[in-house]
Amino acid sequence: MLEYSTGLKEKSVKIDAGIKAVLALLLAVTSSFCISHLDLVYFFIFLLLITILLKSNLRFVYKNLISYTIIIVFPYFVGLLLSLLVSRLFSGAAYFNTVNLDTAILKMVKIFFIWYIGNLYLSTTPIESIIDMLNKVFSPLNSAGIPAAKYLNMIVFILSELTGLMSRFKNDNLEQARHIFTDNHLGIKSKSKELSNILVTFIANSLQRTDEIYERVELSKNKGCQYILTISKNEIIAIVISVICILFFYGRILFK
Amino acid sequence: MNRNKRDAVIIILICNAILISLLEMVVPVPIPVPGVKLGLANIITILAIAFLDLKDTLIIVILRCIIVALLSKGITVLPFSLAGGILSALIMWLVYTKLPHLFSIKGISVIGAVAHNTAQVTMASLILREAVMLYYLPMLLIFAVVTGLITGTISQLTVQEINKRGIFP
Repeated sequence: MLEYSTGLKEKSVKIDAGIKAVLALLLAVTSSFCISHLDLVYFFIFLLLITILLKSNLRFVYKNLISYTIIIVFPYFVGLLLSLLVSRLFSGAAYFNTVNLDTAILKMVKIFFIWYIGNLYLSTTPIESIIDMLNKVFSPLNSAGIPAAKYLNMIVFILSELTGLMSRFKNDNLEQARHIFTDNHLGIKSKSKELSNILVTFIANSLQRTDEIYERVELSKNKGCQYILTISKNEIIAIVISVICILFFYGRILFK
Repeated sequence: MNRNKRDAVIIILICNAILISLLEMVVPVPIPVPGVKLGLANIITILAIAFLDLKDTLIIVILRCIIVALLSKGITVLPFSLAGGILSALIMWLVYTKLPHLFSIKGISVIGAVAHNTAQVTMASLILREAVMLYYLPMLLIFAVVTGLITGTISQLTVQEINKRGIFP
């Protein structure tokens, strides 16, 4: 789950985070133009093409399909089955009779496209660039009294902290917990007690660093916003490809 | 504690919540069902409710959800985790502060888990605009009671231990 610095990002084609975000939003809106099954196939091919152009990999496609299935598709079909069961057991079923499976699947695929575009954006854009861009976008909020910059600064700080803490936690606490939960002599109550001891020690040790963290947060506050909009060859290609895609799908609706 | 020190505590607790959720790799879920998680990060939400105020608790929940979404490259899961996290934190805070004589930490944790699952399924149902997903909710709520009891037991022991040692600044 936690992969702050991945090889994927280094391999990815560099496109300005702001321009990429706008294009991602436009593509997400374009997915709603898909009104037939053929449109969905075209859009999926287009997304695969973008995935390859951004030098992402097929593992990313599988990962997204699996997480989408667990979070959306599985609950939907279990819900559908249970509603069918209820309708058989009790007369006057509430929802099953009103469900149009074809429309529901079309909707699910469209939502998957939006899901996929969002995750593709995030997996091919360095987090630092996204935070810098957000800092710029939310800067008017700071003058309005909403401390957006402060919270973004906290996010950056936590991300850098986690990079260091992760391996220490895995080596110490995770190993201890693994040892407890593989010990068959311990009952569930003893295991909970042991786990809470690990957590208490961990939390207590971490809270002892409050002063140190406070000083480091103060030092990191002066960094300021570093985002500058850049338009180079990559950005122009990305804009041209996206505009062609949008015009293609818009044209299909217009001339239908 | 001044505001800046409090921010440092918030940062530490968010890091802790993210790291503690790694323990889910070794702590077995009693009934393995797709989408059912123990929710060990909830322990930190309960600690925040017990030792900090509502605003700080919500900051912890919201920033944790955003950071997990950024790290796991799953930005689209954010509406679900935010809905679940915010609703469960609000309800747990209400129960902890208004009805402390009726519910123990374990009970509060169960209520939080139920609220979390309800919010997530409702969010999924709103996004899909299909009420049929709500039929899945009763099944999830049964698991929520079990996972809520487990995290509640650990939270209760942790809160007791922290109080005993006078750890919290």
